[in-house]
Order: sequence, then C-alpha cells, then structure tokens
Amino acid sequence: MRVSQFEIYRLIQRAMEALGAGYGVDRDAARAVAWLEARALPGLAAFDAELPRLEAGLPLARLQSRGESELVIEAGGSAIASAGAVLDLATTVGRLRLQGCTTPLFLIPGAADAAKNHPLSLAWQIAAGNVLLTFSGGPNLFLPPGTEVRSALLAEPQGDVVIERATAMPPELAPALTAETLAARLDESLNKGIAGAPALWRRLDAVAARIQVPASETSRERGAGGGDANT
Amino acid sequence: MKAVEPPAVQALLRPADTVMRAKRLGSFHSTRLSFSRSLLRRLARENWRFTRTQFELNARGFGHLVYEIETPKGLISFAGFSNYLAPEDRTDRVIAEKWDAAFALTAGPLSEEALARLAASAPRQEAARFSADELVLSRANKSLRLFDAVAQALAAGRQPPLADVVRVGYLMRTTAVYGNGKFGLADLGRLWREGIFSLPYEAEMLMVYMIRQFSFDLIEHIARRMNPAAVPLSPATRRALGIGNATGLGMAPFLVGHPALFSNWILARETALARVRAIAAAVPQKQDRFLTLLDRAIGHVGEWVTEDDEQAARIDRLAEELESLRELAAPGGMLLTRAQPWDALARELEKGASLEASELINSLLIELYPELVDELEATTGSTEREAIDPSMSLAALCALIEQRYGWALAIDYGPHSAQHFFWYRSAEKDEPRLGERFNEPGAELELPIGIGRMAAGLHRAIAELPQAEQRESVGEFLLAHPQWRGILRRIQSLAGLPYAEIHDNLLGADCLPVDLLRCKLSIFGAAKFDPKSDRWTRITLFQGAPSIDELGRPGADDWAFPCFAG
Repeated sequence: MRVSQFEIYRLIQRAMEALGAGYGVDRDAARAVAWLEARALPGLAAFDAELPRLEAGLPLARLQSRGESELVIEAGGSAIASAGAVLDLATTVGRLRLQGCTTPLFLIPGAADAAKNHPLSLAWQIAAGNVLLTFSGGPNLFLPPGTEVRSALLAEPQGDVVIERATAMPPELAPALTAETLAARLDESLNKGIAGAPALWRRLDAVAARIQVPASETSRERGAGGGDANT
Repeated sequence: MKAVEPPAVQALLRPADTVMRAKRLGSFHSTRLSFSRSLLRRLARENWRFTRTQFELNARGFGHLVYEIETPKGLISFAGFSNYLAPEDRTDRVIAEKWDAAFALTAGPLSEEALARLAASAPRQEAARFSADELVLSRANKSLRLFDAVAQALAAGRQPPLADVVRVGYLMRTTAVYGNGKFGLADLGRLWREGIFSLPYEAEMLMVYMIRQFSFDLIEHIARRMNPAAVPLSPATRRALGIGNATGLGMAPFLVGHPALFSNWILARETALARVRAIAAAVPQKQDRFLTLLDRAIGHVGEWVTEDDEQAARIDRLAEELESLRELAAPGGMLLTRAQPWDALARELEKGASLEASELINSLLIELYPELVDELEATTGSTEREAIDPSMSLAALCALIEQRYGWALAIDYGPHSAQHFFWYRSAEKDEPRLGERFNEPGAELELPIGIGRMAAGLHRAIAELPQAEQRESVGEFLLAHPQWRGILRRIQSLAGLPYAEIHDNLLGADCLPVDLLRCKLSIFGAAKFDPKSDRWTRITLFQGAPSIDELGRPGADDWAFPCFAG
C-alpha cells in the first residue's frame, strides 16, 4: 500500500480532531506526521503507539517556570498536541526544557521550520546515549555510533528534552541522518508515494471516521450536487 | 515576487469590505487571469505539443485513447477511458459510482502496464488506488441533451444546429477533478518540483481541457462508425463546445481553508482592475476594443440560459444594464473620452448597477489591457505557510483583531439565525455538507468554517482573562489555551493579506453557499452559471476556447465572453 503525504495529513488531522484536538493543533499534528513519513521517519508508528494514551485525553502542556534564559514546560506525555506551542516558546528564549515528553520525534518537523528563522537544536537522552538534532541546512540527526535510527526515535526519553539556540556536539555522537539524506528521501516519496501499513492505516482510519456525520435524509436531499438529472 | 504597485494604483484597490462580501463574490465573472485562460496562454507561449498516440475505441465508442503532451519541462500523458453506463447508474451527483468516461493525467509516457492498470482503476475513481505517477483523476458523463444529437448530425453529414450546441454548451460534463494526493495520486509537491505546472489548478485545468478534446475525438469516432461519410466537428462547432461541470459544496470550505491562496487570487484580480482604472485616458483603439467586448458580452448574456428563477431575473437585469451602457458608450458620447474613464465607469456601476453588471464590466476592463495585467497570473500561487508570532502581546493581538476582523466583531452570534448552519463531512463519500444546527444532528462535529465567530470568540476570550494573564504573550496564551491555536495563527498570518477572509457570517441563515461556489468557479474561468439550488450549480468551462490545433494562432486568446449567434 502506497499513500500520499496528503492522505497522511488528512488521516492524522481527522484522527486528532476525533481525539479532541482543536482547530490548529490538529493541523500541526497532521503536518508533523506527514513531514516525518515523507522522510521515511516513523511518524505513523509513533502516533499509533501513542494512540491508547491519546484516547484517554490529549495531554495539556503547562508552563512550570520562566527564568531569564530558560523556560521549563511539563509536556504531560506525547508532544503530538503541544509541539507547536512548545516550539513557539522555544524561539523566544535561549533554552527550553521539556519535561515528561514521551515522543520528542513529533518536535522535529516544527523545529525544522522554526530553525529557518531561529537557530536551535533538540537534544535528549535514551538508553543508548544522547540524541541530538541540529538544523544547519536542514535537519541533521546525531546518535551514538551503531544506534538504529528508527528505534532511537521511537524510544521514550530518559529525562528532559532540551531545545536551545546553540548546542555543543557531544564527542561520542556520529551523524545518523543528514539534511541531504532526508531531502533525497523526500524526493523519493514524491516519486513513489509512501509505504503504508494497511492494518495500522485501518486502525487510524477508524478513529478519523468518528468526525464524519452520518447521512440524514435531509442531507442526502440537499447535499452537494443534489440533482439526478443528467442532461 | 509581487510587484509593488504605484500609489495611484494602490489607492484604487477596492477595500475588502467591498470585495469580500459573499453577494459580490457570488457575482464574479471570469477574467483573463482566470486559470483556464492563463493555462491556454501558457500552452501557446511554450508551444506544448499534443500527439494522440493510442486510439482504441470500438464501434460504440467504448475503449481508450492516449495523448502524449510534450512540455518544456518534460512529457505528460492523458488517458481517457470510455465505458458503457447503464441508465440506472447515471447520476450527476458526486456520490455516483459509475460514469461514461474516466480520465487520468500522468507523469511521463504511459507504459502498457500502467495503461492496463489505469483501465481497471480510473473508471472506479474514489474506490480505487492510484500511484504517485498519476497527477490528476477525473470522470465525466455524456450530455443526454446533446451528445447523441450531435453524433447523429455529424453522421448525417451536417453540423448540429448551433443554437442547440450553444444552449447546452458541452458534450460531456465532469462531476469531479481530483489531484493533490487524493487516493494515492501525486502530491502537489511533485507537480511544483518538476515545474511542468507552476500555478494553482493548472494540472486540473489541463485535465478539463483534455476531456474537451476527448469529447471531440469520441463523438467524431462514433459518427464515423455510424456513417463513414460523417463530417467532423467544424471549428465553429468546436468553439461552441466546452466542458460542463456540476459543482457542489466542496468548493466553499476550500476558500475558507486556503485563505492565503484565496487572497492572492483576489489580489491579482483587484490589482489588475486597479491598474486599468488608473489609466488617465482611453486611446481610440482601446475605446473600440471596449465596444467590441461589450457587444460580445451582450451577446454572451443573451445566450446564458438557466432554469433558476432568481438567476434568470439577474440575467434579465444584466442584459438591460448592458444595453443601456452600450447606448451611453456609443461613439460621440463622453463615457469613454473623459479623464480616467475606466475608473469613472467602475465607480458608477459599483454605485448604481447590479452586482452582476458591475462585476461583468470589471472583467471587461481587465480584458482590455493584457499588457498591463497578464503578468499578474504569476502571483496567484502561495506557499500557504502560516506562522505564529509568539512574542506578540495579547493587547496587540486584540488590536489586530479589531483592525482586520471588525466585520466579524460587529455580528451578534447569539440568535439562532446567526448560527443556523453548520458545515460537516458526511460519512457518505466524505464530502462537505451543510446542516441546519437546530434541526439536524452532528453540529458537535462541525468544520471550522465560521471564521468570524471564531475570531470574535478569541477576542472575547482574551477580554475575559484575569488581568495578570492579559499581560501574557501569545506564546504563553496558546500553551494554556490550545483551542485557539488555529484561529490565532490565521489572524496573525493573514495580517498582510487584504482579501483572505469572506466578510460575512458563513453560519448565518442568509448564507448562500452557491455564492462561494460561483466565486471560485469564476476564478477557474467558468461561465454560464446555472444554479440548481443554493448549494450546487452547473457551469461551462472552455466554451469558446481554441482547440489544441488552434493554440498559438493569432487571436486564439480572444475568447472572453464568447458569443456564437451571428
């Protein structure tokens, strides 16, 4: 099954809306997942893994403290619903610490956008070591040598996610994905579409379908293209 | 890159409160900047080549044909599939499942394997899956009023009566043209990356233009099978045949959901009009051209047929107004020889004429000066990237809302009549529908179409915050109140775009979706609007347009307001 970026966007926008996200948050989430998938990064898998917790209620991020040069925000779980707001604020301070974030993966697309005007980096820790994203000329991912990208990006962080203007490169990290690689992947997905897992797609589609309104007789009568004449 | 207009032109740009009212938008006519016009100019300018490489139709006209289209940026293919359609399966609604013909526009040459796959999938439309090599998908039905009659006439060795051809206006009518990644089709990003298409809806308009060509090929083939001595469609008959379209509610949410794009469409049109209005004097050649176009428009309006009583009354009044204007504009009068004549004329019509007449003349004025306006077609696209300014204070945001959304703040959303409608996605084919909030279920699932109500709601929500929170920045506010993220970003992002919002309550009982449909269709280049209800309309595209073998000939672009009588 090959799908388009548009279809992923629409699927996630609707699923988020069904999960209670408002106008804007739903679109941010949809764009994030489509952006990731278009670059062969596991946006749909991460969303699918988060789904049981999202079904219980979208987490609301809260400002914990504001200092001169540092903001601390409690994510309360997935970043899928709060990535936009967090990154907005990250561009206004030197450093932002995001506590309790289960999926920093969802911060990457918004950070890539924000980094076009505000230099920033993303860093967090997983069991294998540090994860670092810089955005010079596009997103560049650094991982401990030998770490598999997909599992690193899907792993829950140990500790805070740090978003800051400048980050010193920890010496133990090696390039895992470059901006050039991701651009090539984007080209590939435009040429060939994006591989979609049918079972996962069906699960998310069932959630997305909750925002549809069943046809009433009135809506059938008066809906779009209401005529039957074909003259 | 948009040009900065001289102050004299900027001063003549009409305010959004004038332009962006649903009633006025619902009176727009196509202009030379409409997408069908700009597409054909591009095909001619870049000398696109059309070669029919396959023609496999049986005696009844069922089978397929393929065109290869050579463009400066690469080759694309058009495939059309004609199939038998049982009478009981024939319906004009978007929820139909079978059609007389199906079409695909694809990147590169079409392999036999791809053709076989499309032969199976294209006729199934939404029920099938497509690949990233397929750019646009469409379907069409034959006109029962015209198709067989024209085939029989050609088979009998004569052209069909022109009056019949003009009255219907098409051999086939589409009910949907799909692009941008739907059902697995290519994402828009691919179209832009390869550069074959660079303007909004260019690929979709090419599809419609090729369906028109398909309808010509098909009917001539059927006529020849009826009688080998059949005559082909004459150039005059071809010109009178466009492609029909039946369009429903889906276009209205699009305009609301793509405000930056919409603003650029309207801004291009309004800038063109302002440039013309700024002209100090009309030289005799332009005066003559205006009279020629006015005469043609009078004829065009005379050939505009509708069964809708309200639209018929509007057309009658328009016809009278154009006749009166023709008398006033006759040589020897002052109408065209006074200072800044086009501005004076536009002002007078805006003040005293119907919206139909005012906007038709505005389209004519734009038509008069291709040398001033055609470059504006390049400004109709948009990256549509919205961004939040998190540092803005809430006080500044409120001031921005008051400045740009005063029209929305002035509406009282309390009465039921102000919230009469809600827009939603139907479970049936996922199409946008309009429900009555207090009579139908589903309002809790409504689409974010009530922009005015949301903007006013945000303004009120900020005013009701505790004093301490009112001193917060937008960034902090949105962290705590994510439900406002979409409308707030919209308000900030659109601050510099004058024509992004429709200045009416789209939830109100007096909302007529057909006004928004007509606006978008006019931007496509549609004509002969024939409303079938307040929620859907029929139109004709490419009527009067040159055929593929006429592109680039002198005068080929001169098909505004075509008139075929006499």
